[in-house]
Amino acid sequence: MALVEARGLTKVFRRPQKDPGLRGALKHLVQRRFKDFRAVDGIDLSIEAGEAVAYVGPNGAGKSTTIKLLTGILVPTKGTVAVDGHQPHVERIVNARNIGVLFGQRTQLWWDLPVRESLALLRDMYSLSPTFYKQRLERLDDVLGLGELMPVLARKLSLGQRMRADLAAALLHQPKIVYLDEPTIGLDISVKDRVRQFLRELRADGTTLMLTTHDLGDIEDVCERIVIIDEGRKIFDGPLKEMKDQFARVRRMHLQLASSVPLAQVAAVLPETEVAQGDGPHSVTITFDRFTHTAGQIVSAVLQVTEVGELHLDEPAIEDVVRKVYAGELLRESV
Amino acid sequence: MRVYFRILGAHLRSTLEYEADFAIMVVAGLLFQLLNLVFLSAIFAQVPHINGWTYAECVLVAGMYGIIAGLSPLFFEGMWSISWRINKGELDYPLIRPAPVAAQVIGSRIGLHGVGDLIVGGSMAGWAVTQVSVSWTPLTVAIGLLLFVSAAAIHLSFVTIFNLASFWIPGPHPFLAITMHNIEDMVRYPLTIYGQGLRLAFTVLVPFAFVTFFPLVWLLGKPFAWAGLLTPVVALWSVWLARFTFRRGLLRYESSGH
Repeated sequence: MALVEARGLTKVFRRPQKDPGLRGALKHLVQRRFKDFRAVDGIDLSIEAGEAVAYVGPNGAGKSTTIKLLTGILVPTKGTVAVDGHQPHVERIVNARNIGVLFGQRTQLWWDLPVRESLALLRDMYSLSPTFYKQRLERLDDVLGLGELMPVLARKLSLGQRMRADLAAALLHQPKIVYLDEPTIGLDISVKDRVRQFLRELRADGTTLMLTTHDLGDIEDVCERIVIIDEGRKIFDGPLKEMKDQFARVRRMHLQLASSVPLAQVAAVLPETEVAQGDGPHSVTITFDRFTHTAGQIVSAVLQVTEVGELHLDEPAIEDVVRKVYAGELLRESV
Repeated sequence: MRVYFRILGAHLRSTLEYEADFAIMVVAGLLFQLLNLVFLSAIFAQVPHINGWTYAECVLVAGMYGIIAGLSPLFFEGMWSISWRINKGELDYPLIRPAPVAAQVIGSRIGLHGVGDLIVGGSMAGWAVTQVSVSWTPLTVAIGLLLFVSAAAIHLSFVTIFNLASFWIPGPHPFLAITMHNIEDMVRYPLTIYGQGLRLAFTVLVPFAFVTFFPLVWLLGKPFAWAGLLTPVVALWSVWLARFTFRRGLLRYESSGH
């Protein structure tokens, strides 16, 4: 069985329906109306041990809610979750020892205590032995540079320092699976790189990762599998490469032609594609659907017109795909 | 328990960093209790006793409440944070740690004004105990302690229950708990001074009468002394109810955002 198994996972929030203003608020007191809101709607998900899964979707798609359901913070309205065979919200404490959680927007450090104290409190909660704790801190210090942060009060940390300390807090007990909800949010590029480097090392140690992010760099650097959700439903689940193949149909080829040829002449031999002037004087950019044309076909068609010097094919960018999802295009296509 | 004391200890140390705060809070606690004593003394300057309760007996009631009300900020202050925690989604992290959520929440604050309450409440009760006519035997002391612990448990359970109402009544402030806390202040005085309706409500509906009145009725051998011996039973019920409410509340927890 997979490490994480979710079946038909659904969370419905009941939201009060109020008219705007004080008048609306008063009316609601007398006549209560509610509307159901499905934040997560029948999601099936299984994650094998050692996998790194990117969980992606626009704001409000239900990413954080899913994480909260998988970690046992929220009780599912419908459906089941099992993490290492335990139901998170029922066997909360057993499950807590297996998981590490980071909410990038919030800290779990005690606000008025030095980082060292927070980590020591966590050591006690997880009942870690002194030797294990020491080893773990040394390991985390290597990759996160904790040493300088230890005596600092949590409220005095910069965002980057806080994230490093929070990562240490989430990973102190060496959890089997780590859920990271936007672990690089608001960080500058160098700290981001450091965090990603750390996540790659975690993977190398065999830790299972699930991360939600809007930062596509996080995904390409760390994950092989991507799950896309929108409006609480899963719309893609598979290897990153497959996602590109499936959704990134449009490709772009840049050609450096031997001689100056009118664009119309090139376009004439390539129906159903888009031919545009490239950057240089003799260059053209051809945009084509890879389901109707292969790159080879494009090149041989152009060769009928003129010699080709250089050519360069743009790899489908994950950005393009995700942007389409965010714009709501894929949802309509796939349903 | 261990986790609770570790968290509380860490917060005690951090709170003590702010020495001025500490002094102000202790003095505030002292003043509040002293003011209450002045009020009580002013009444007894006019009348020898109220409904059969002498000055010393009334001081004992107020002193006992002072001690219990002082223990609450010292050891239970974190419970008052639950409504903003629910409102802001700040129970997320406690829920993913392998320790009881209640222990983590309760330990997360320490109210040092409790020290002032304890000092004055303790002094009042200490003085009053030497003045009232009780035939002290080891058994009286043992039962007296049991009733005191039970009374404190009832108080803390209801602080918990009313704060937990925030799971059902959203909003960042524990209005119900604050209101009920103010109402509970009535147990500073012997219950007999209130009308029958209030007395009944305080006994059956919300058993605040068992926080000071009934245990002392037993100790002082007043009418209905036997009722004081029910205090441990009421305490068990209160603790059970608080735990039950906490469980049900956590099932309703919605965190913040989605």
